[in-house]
Amino acid sequence: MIPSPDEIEEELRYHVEARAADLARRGRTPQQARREAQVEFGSVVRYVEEGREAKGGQQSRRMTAGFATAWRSLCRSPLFVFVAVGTLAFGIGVATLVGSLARSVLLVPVQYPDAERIYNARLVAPAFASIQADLPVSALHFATWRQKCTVCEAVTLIDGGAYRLAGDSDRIRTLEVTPEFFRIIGTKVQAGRVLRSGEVGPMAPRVAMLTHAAWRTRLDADPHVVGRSVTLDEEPTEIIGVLPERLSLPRGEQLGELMQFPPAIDMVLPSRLDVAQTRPAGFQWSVLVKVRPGVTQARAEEELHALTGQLAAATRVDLRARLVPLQQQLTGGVQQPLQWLTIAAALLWLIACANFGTLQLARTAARRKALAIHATLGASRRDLLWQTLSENFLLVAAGGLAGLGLAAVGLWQLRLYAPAFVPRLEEVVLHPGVWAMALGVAAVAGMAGTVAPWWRMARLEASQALQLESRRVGLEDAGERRLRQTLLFGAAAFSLALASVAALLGVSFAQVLYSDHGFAREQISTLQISTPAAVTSGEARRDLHGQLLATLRSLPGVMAAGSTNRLPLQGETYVGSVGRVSGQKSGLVSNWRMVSPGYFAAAGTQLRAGREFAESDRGQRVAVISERVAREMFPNASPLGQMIFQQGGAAARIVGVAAEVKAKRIDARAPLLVYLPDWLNTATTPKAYYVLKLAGDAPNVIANIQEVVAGLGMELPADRIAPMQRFVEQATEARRWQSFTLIGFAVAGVFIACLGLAGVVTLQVNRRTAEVGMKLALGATRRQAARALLVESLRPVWLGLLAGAAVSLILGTLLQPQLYNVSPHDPFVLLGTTVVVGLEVLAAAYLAVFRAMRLDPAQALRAE
Amino acid sequence: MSQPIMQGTLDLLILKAVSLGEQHGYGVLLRIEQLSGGEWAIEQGALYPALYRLETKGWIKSDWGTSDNNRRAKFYSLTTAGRKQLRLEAENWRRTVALMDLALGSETA
Repeated sequence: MIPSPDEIEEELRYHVEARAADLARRGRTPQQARREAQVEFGSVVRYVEEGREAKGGQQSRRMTAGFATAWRSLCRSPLFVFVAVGTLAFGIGVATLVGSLARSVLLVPVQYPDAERIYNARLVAPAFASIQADLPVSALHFATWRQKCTVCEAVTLIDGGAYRLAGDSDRIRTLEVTPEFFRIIGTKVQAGRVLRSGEVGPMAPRVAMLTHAAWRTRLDADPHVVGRSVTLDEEPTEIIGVLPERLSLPRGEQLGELMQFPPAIDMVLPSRLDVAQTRPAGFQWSVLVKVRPGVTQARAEEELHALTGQLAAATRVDLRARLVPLQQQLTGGVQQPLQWLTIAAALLWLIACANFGTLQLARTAARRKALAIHATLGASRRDLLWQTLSENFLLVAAGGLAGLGLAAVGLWQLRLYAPAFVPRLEEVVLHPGVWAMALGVAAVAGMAGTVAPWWRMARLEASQALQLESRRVGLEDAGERRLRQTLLFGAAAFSLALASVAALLGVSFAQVLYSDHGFAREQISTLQISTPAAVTSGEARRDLHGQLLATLRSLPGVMAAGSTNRLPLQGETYVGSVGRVSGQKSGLVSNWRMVSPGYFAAAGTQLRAGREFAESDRGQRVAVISERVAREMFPNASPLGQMIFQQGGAAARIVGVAAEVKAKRIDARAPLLVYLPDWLNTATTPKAYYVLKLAGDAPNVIANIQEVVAGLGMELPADRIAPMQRFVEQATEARRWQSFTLIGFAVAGVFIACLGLAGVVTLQVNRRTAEVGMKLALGATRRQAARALLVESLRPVWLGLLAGAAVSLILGTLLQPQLYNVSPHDPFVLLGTTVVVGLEVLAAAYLAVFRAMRLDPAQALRAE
Repeated sequence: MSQPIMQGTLDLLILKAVSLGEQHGYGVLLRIEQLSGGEWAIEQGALYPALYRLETKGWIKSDWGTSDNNRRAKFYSLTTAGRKQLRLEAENWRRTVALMDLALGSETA
C-alpha cells in the first residue's frame, strides 16, 4: 500500500527532526543542526512536495484524490493557470458567441409560425432593373393584393416612424402595420391584445403595442401598462398590449435598402395610411405576404403578378411582382459578413486550442522528472494519468465556464448596441451544442498535450524513467516533438490567416472611410426642412425656399449654402432616362437631382469641367451632369454646351460636369446623376434639404439657423440637423463593426499564439539548461547559444507563417466581395501583415529566450 | 569517506535492518550505516521510495507508533513473506560472493 502524501510528509518530517536531534547531540547548535539536516535531506523534501502528487490509494478514492491533487498542483502555478484559462475562456467565449449568432441568424428558421410561408413582396421595374433590382410596394398594389389575392392567407403593409412621447426626451421608434401583421407573424402577446381587424386606416383609433424592451426601459416595466394612456405627438394613445421578449421585428434596412425602418422598435401602431390619398406610383411601403399552406412561391408570384398587371394603367410603369422568402430577405445581407465573422472566430478559437495544447505539453514535459519520481515512489501509472487528466479537466472546465460567461456578456452588450444590420438579434441564444463543441476541441488539444509526454513515461519502467530523466540532456521524444511542432505550426498559420483577413477588411474600411465620395464632410451641416402644409403651389414653395436660402447665406459663420432634393448617401430617387438631343444616343437611366445655385460649393462636390448653376441662370434650362454620364453620353467630345433632355421633358444645356457622388451605398459605384436647377422643379415635394458649409469657429450658428427657419414659419427640430459626417458614419457602421471586430480577433489571436510560442521556447530553454550550460562552459557565447535555441524553436513557426500566407491568398480570393479599393492579393497588405506577425512572433521568442537564459554557466551546469 | 551503496543491495540491506526489529525510516538508515561500520551511506532520497516499494511488494509492513522521544513515527517490520525473501536474497548474495571469490581468487592469491 502506498502511503498518503500527508503520511509521507509526516514520516519524512520525523526523519529530518530525528537527524537534526542527532546532529545537535554531536555539538551543532539547534539552528545549524536543523539547517544541515534539511540540506542533507533537501532533495527528499522536494520529493515530498512532488510526492503529494503521487498519491495512490484505494480505487474508490482515486478520482477525488486525483482532483484534489490536480487542484493543489494548479494552485502552485498561478501564472500558468491564468494564461491557460484566459486563453481558453477567450477562444471558447468568442467561438460560442459568434457560432451561436451565426447559427441563430443564418441557420435557425425565423421564429414565426409557418415562417416558410411568409414572403416579402417587392416590385421589379424591368426598365430600371439595372440600377435598382426591385422596389418597395405602392399602397395601391398592397390594397389590390390584400383584396384579391386568393392564394394569400394574409397580406400586411409595414412602415416605420418616429414620435415624441410626452415625458421622454428620445423619440419613440415605431412600426406602423395593418392588423394582418400579427396574423402573419403569429405572435401571442405577453399582456393585453394585438390589433383588431378594424383598427386600421385614417380613422383608426390611436392605440399602441409596446415591445418588451420599450415596456421595460421606457415604462419601467409597469405591470398595469395595458389600458394606460400615453401621449404620442400630442395625441393620447392607449396601450393595448405588450409584445413578448424574444420577438424580432424588422429593423433598419432588413426589408430592403429602400425601406428604412428605425434601428430599434419601441411601439407597433396601426397604420393610418389612406390608400386613396397615395400616388399609384408611390413605391415606399414594405409588404409581407403569408401564402396558404401548399402554395408554392412561383404560384403566389404568378397570381400577384397578374394582379399587378391590372394596375399598369394606373402606375404607367411596367412592373412585375417578386416574392423573397422572409428568411432570405432578413439574413441575405448579413450572410457573407457573418460567415466571415464565423471564420475569424473559428481561427481565433483554433489558435487558442493550439496554444492550450502547447502550454499543456510544455507543462507536462517540464514535470516529467516529477512524474518519474512519483512513479518511483510507487504511484501507479493510472494514478498519474488520472491526475494529469484531472488537471486538464479542471482547466478546460474553468476556461469553458469563463468562456460561457464571456459569451453571455458579449451577447448582452451586442443586444444593448443592437446594430441595425444584424437581424433577429432578439432570437439569438447561446447554443449549448456550439459551446460543447468549442469546449470539446479545447479539451482534446489539452489532452494531447498532456497525454503525449505521459505516454512515453508510461512505457518506461519507473526506475528507468528516473534514471533517464536525471541524465537526459535535452532529449525529446520524436512524437512529442512532432506534436509541439504541429501545434506551433498551426497557431502561426491560423494567426497569419486571421491577421490577413482582418488587415484586408481594415484597409477596406479605411478606404471607404477616407476616399473621396464626392462631397466634403468636415464643417458641413445638413438640414431637413418640411414645407408648411399651407404652402401648396410650386411657385410659393420656391419663393419660400429661395428666401430661406438667402437668409441662411447671410448668417455669420455660414460660408456657403445650397439646397437639394436628396442628400448624398440618402438613397436614389427621381430615377428617369436621359437622352442626347443631337445624335441618336438616349436611354441612359439616371438619377435626377434638383439643386440650387451654390449647392456644389456648399457640399464640396468638385466640378471637373464648366461651372455650377449661378443666379444668372435663373429661369434658364441648364444642367450639370456627372462624370460618368459625360463619359457614357459624350465619349469623344466635350459635353459642355451640349443639349440633353429628360424623358417627357424639355431639353437643357449642359454647363458643368461634376465629380461622382455616392447616392446610396458608400462602398458601391456612384449612380449616373443629372442635376437640374431647382427652378425647374415642378414637383410639390414636401421636404427640402439644405447643405451648409460652416466656419470653424461659429458659436450659436445652429441656434441662429433654427431661429431663421422658425422666422419663416417652418420647423427645424434638432434631430433634423445632421453633420454630413454622420451620414458617412451611418453608411460605414457595418464595416466599422466588421473590421474592428476582426482586427480585435486578429490582435488577440497573434497575442495568444505568441504566448504559446513563448511558453514553448521557455520549455526548450529549461529542458536544455544542461546543454546550454555546457556550451557556455565550453566557450560559446550566450548569444550563440540563444540563437541555436531560437532557430530550432522558430522553425515550425516560419513554416506555419508560410502556410498561413498561402491560406491568406485563398481566403483573400473568397473575401473579394467584401473588399473595397484593395486587391485581395495586395502585396503591401499581405507582406505587411506577414512582417508584422513575424516580428511579433520573433519578439515573443526573443523575450522568452532571454528571460529563460538569465543564468550563468555554472548555475546551468549545476542544474543536472 | 563513506562508500556509496552498491546497486541492487539496498533492498536486501533494508530487509536485513528491519529483520532486527521494528524500526522507523531514520532508524533503518542509521542501522544500515551501523551494520556497515559506517562504511556505507545511503542516499537519503532513495530510502523512502525503496521502503514504499518493499511495502507494496508485501515484504514489510508499517504501523504508526511512538518513538523513544515520544513522537509519532512510522515503524516498519518484516512480514512472513519478507522473512522468506530475506533468506532467499541473502542466499543469492552469498552464492554470488562465493562465485566472485572463486573467479577472482587466483588473481588475489
